[in-house]
Amino acid sequence: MKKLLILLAFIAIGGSAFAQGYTSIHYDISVPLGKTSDRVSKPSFRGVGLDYRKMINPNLGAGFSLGWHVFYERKDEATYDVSKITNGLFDKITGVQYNYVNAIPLHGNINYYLGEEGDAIRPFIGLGVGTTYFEQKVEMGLYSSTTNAWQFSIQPEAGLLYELSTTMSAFLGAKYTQGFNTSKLDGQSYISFNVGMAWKLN
Amino acid sequence: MIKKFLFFGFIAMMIAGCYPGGAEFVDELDLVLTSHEETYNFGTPSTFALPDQIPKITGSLVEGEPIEYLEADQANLILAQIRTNMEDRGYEEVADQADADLVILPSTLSNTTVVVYCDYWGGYWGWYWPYYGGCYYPSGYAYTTGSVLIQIVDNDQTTPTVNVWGAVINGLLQGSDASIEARVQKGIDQAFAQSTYLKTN
Repeated sequence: MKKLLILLAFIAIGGSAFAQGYTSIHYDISVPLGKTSDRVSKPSFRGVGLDYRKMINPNLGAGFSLGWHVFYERKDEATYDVSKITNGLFDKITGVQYNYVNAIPLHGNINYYLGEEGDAIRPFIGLGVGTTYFEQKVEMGLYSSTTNAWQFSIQPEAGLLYELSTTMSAFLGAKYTQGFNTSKLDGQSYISFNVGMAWKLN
Repeated sequence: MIKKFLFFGFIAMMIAGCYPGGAEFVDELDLVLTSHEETYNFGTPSTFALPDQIPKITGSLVEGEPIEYLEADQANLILAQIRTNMEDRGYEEVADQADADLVILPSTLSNTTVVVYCDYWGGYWGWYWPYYGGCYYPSGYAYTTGSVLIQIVDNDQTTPTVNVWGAVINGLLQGSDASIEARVQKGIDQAFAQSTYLKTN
């Protein structure tokens, strides 16, 4: 694993000290908000993300970001009203409920970096615009129901790059992902905290 | 290259979501569903009748075979649990069905599902050598689910039969008889607990 990371680092950096941008891979911890927390209120420790930014001038970078965040919560045995979803066939259902939300955000991003090339710490703010795939699944007994949707989404972010060497930086950030209502699924939202590495591009 | 790999990795993730956790114990898959006729006034009737036996729904009736019944001790357990709950709600049991305001009709249903699939290599070799019929190493599993169904029918002879209340207690038929019995009893209690309107004046 370590070897693979080092190899990956070498491929990504290409050997030049002058940064034209970076690729970052990070581990994400996410906290569900709004409609997402209605289903799953617990934070997610299953998440990864990838960022790519190309510098268009010394303070402005453009690129894309990808992520995958999995939310899960088991709800103890409880009684739910199901008259609406079963069209009156049943009024109430009692059982243990398992809730899952898989979110895959895909965004085009623009970031503004404070300071200048060579600074040890470069804080940044940014905005992503794109789409997020949400898959919401609920399981009760031997039955399950899945709703999925590609939602138009925005992703403001803030963070910092801490230079570890001429080619490598630590990446710390927070991204707020807000999806917008689709006919099948209400707009989902969550905030993810990112810790990872960034490799400068030549 | 790496970027391409990562990109396809993400695409692959999109196709199959991740589902951590889930049920670990059989009773976590138990469900209790109830329904009732909203216009019906459960306060009016005061007596009920129960049958001596509980039929198994097997499809045998369709094929012209006699009805199969649940074993006496299992049936008595279910009937006793329904009886206790009905009496707690103020209804009185009568021996003759014709005299009862409400007739309770319990039944049971069990269903075994067998899933057979080919693993990856089975599929691969099956394609390579059609001689093996496409499934070189078939794998599979089976599970049996059981349901207790309870219907309450309004026994007013002057109007067509009306099913005024229904309950389904569903779960996996797995574990010792004692544990299954305990789950069924708990399920019947829950069916009444979530039907607070079911009581006489």
